[in-house]
Amino acid sequence: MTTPASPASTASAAATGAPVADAPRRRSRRTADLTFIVGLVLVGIVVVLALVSFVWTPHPPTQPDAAGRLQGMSAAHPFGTDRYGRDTLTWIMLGARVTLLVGIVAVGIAMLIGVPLGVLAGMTRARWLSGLIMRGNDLLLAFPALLLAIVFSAVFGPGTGPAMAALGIAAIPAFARVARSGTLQIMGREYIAAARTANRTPLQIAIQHVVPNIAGLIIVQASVTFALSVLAEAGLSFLGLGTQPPTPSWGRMLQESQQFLGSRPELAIWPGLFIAIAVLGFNLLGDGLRDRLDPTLRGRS
Amino acid sequence: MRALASRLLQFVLTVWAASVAVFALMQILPGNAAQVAAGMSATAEDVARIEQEFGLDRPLIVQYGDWLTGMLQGDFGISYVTGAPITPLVFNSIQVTLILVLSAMVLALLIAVPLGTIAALLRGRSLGAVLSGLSQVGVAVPNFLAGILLVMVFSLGLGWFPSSGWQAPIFGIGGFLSHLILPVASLALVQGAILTRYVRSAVLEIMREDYLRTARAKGRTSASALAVHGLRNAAIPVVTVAGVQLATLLIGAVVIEQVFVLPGMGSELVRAVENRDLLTVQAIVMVLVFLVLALNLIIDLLYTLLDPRVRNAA
Amino acid sequence: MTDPLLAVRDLTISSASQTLVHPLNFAIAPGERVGLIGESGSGKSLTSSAVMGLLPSELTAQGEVALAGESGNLLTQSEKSFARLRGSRMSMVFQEPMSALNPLMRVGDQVAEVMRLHRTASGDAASKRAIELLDQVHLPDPSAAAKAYPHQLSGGQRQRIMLAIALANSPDLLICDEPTTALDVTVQSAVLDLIDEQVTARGTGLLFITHDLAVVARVCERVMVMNAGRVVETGTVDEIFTAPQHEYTRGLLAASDLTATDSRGRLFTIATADQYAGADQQATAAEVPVTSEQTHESAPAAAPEPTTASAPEPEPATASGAADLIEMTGVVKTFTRRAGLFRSHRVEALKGIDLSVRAGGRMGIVGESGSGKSTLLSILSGLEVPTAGAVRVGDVVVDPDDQSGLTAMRRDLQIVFQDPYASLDPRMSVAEIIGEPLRSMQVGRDERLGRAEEMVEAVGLDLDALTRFPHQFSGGQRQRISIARALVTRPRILVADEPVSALDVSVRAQVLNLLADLVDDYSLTLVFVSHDLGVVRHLCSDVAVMRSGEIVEQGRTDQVYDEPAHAYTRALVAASPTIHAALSA
Repeated sequence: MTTPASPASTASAAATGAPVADAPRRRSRRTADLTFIVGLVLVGIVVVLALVSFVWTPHPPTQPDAAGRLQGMSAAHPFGTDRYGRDTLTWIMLGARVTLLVGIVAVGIAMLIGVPLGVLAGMTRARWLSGLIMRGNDLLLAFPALLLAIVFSAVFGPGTGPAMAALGIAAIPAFARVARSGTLQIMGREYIAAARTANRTPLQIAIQHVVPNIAGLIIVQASVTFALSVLAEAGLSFLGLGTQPPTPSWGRMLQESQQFLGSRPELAIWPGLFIAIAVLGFNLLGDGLRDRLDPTLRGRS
Repeated sequence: MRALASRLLQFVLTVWAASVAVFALMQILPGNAAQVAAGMSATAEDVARIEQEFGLDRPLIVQYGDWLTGMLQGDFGISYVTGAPITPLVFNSIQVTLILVLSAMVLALLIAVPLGTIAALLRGRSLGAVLSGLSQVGVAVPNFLAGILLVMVFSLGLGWFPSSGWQAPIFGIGGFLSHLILPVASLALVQGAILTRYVRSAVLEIMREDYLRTARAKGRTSASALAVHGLRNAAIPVVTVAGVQLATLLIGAVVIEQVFVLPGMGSELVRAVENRDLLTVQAIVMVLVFLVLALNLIIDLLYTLLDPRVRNAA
Repeated sequence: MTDPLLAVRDLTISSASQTLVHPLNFAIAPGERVGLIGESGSGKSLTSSAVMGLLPSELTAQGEVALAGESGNLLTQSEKSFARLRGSRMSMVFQEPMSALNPLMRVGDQVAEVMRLHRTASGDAASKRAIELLDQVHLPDPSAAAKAYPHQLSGGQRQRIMLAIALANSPDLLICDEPTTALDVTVQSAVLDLIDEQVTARGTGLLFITHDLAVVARVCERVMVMNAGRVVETGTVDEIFTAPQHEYTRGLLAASDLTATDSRGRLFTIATADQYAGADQQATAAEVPVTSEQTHESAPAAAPEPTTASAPEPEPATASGAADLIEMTGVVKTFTRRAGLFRSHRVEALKGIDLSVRAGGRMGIVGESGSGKSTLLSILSGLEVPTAGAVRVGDVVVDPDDQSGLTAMRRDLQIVFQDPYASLDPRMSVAEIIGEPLRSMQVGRDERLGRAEEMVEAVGLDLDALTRFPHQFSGGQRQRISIARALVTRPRILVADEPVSALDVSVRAQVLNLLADLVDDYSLTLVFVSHDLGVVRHLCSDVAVMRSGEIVEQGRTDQVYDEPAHAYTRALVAASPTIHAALSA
């Protein structure tokens, strides 16, 4: 699917010295904060919907209401009902669960595997090992997330599980690359040489110096990957190869809405809107975090 | 020259490794293919007969060798499920997909390059903020949602374009274009939003470069310095990203083909998955992976042409 | 000065929140050479940018800038008419040669561009003229150089290209903003000669911005001293350097003069500058009058003297057998660079180094970039493995595979690094940073803190520094923290890798004094690496001169500096700018 734009802002403004850049710094600081807050609010909406759905929904999710099929918006059904008479708002709330679950698991898989691999590739002095890791990465990059998810659904059958696994695996290279390039940068710093002359072991250096200093990059990547996974899962469910009935999912709601586009367009608009909110939220969160954590934007004493 | 040879070798090796990976993935569940092909009610004998007929009882390494040598000769084998050869299907559908994806990329660049540059130049002003806000929202819209919205407005609402289907160009260029426009637009709008953001940040990055200040010290205005010295430099990261995006566009087209019922690779892939036609899945996935890798190769070569630093370092 | 070339009146530069340059007045007569000196943040570069109309868009300049022959105030002109003057009537050379040229364009075209732009030459004529200009700035093989891309040229060569661009249209005013700061000393010397020569030949007015007093004394007739956005003093070079009136000028001058020391043998700082007698009084016969005809970028390569003559000769000060604390014998380091799948090429960073340092000695290692001095340090501290040869530190023969040996060795040898911003982990508190070397020695938390407190006081910081983080400190303070970390294990040997090269002059003197105090107090053996001959002369008793992976000469500091045996050492000493040399010239 689409890669949320993440133009890496390379820390090129290395110590330009004078306080020349103060004014724009403060301004972009403000936009960064705004971006971050809007992102947080949008993600918050989705999280709250998902959490509330565990204790309360406007209607029972699978109550077929033959009399109330394909209704428009009303007090009883603020978002209307679908072709079986099920309440759309209820389904949107339940769909938030799957969206977040897929994102969390996929990001978790990718981060837990990708980051250690990337740090290892960045720290090892054995060239064959870093070469092996990076070539493996290149190979995996040839399988975009959605393609791998389709293959998994072909092999293991469609479902949320294979989808999460595929999206997670497909995102490993992104984390490994970010972790490696961050690690390489950190390893070139003199404080690493200082730690080595202080007799710290590679593992201690990795834990105390490398990981804390690349954490910002990783968090940004996690946010971006989360957005990507939400998009991919929606696409997969739209194809019918992702989350299976009766579990509600926004992608499938969109797909089912297609035959009623002429008569009931809101059936497509609601799930579409919430997919967009979730993706936008995580993208903005990532951008805001990137700017907040960008050392070139952080004022020096 | 040697760098080129080594890049080509790396490409061949990666394609080969990818073919092993695709093949291995399909073998994870043993007996799967024949079982599925034989149907739900098949007896053990039926399954065995199909295994024998398609050579599925042979060692995996032999099966892989057959598949690979077949592919090298342009033969993807015969589907266990439909009994039809896979090659014509791949050949027909790939044309649709490539037309769709390439026109979408061209359109996306036509949108992104001017808008991204303007957004960078107007940073800090309201129009710049509006443009970056719009691109941010555009990135968050899944392309199939864009497709659905376009259908609502332009076919169901205004009735300007058909809502689905495909017409080959030989049956009339008008029909071809009117069927093409909505799917291409749905891919290109989202892609254009993504690329706009990259163009914007590439131009912003370039605007900070010392050599633009040098160009101004030579007597250029900021605008002319950017036009003469900046844009070509900004093109380098944009080309790289556009290459990566072409690959994701290729996969994104899978969903768009479903929305508009286009006979492309994506539709064939989804149908094959639904039919559990694993050999066809295997073939289409391999072709898509090959295209992704080939795109990466082309981008690398283009990059070398654009940037003398890479050219000489090699 | 009745009819100045450039007149600046009440120039004020401010950002949205603060005033960076306070009302500033100066004038430059036609053909006059004016220096503008100051430390980082003094506003000197902003001033030059404002004159050129190149201020970043978020800064505003007010006041008046007038150029002879142009009507009106340049600052109120449109971007377009200002641009017409840039590159034709006034031009500029910048500090960073590596990024100032367009990487995608051949340098000949970049030179020709400025002529085509102002229609002083067009088409092939411009290209031909560009090659002539490259010849004038003494690039070897100018027609080949014109076809090169910037990345194929060295920093010094690129700066020559920038100068060719700046001079192409024979401007009336040339502004140089720290044009040689990023260059090696011998290259710097050659580029300064070139600027001198070209400006003289054309009668161009010069505004030369630098932090280096010795450089300004060499190039300029008149000097303005800037501090915190204000010009504090203006005068001729002689006036400023021999009879500075303002306290800041005196401090700067005193701190820059590495040959002048107070009664304790320490450098003057801004605080102690009132005891400083002045540059002319301090001048001694030590200054070698030099002919700098041979100082081109790669100059002495042409004159390889038999290096073996000086190296193995046992110098009484450095080598005395059993007392040597550090001994390197035949150390070779070869790097293999991979280029593509099959190719690799080998780079010899060190070509057989023999070096010994006696206990309590202060060994300076000087060399330019690429001389291998950093590699030497990495090998000495066990961070890199030598390809051949042996290193002994105390009783330990350094072997990266022998962890316990390395551990023991590193207790004895600690390093202070160059970059005050990269040598401290930004995510650790100062207490953690200083205590880190003790953690591998299994020292408990409380004792670590106690010893960190001790060290913080020893390097002259307040105790509350311990709970703060690196970004809250200035460059000089960070170097103090770095020194505290190095000394917390009570090593016998302190290795310093260009510890003051990133610091302003006034801070440099303080840090050098601190180092000297600590070396005395803790009876340290010092290995001090620097590109700056003056710093090494002040601090070290012995010196080894490195070039291209070899030690070309070593011995007592005074002896090597005053009677250099090797041609390269002579070139290096000659090229190093000193205030005295510049004044007596």
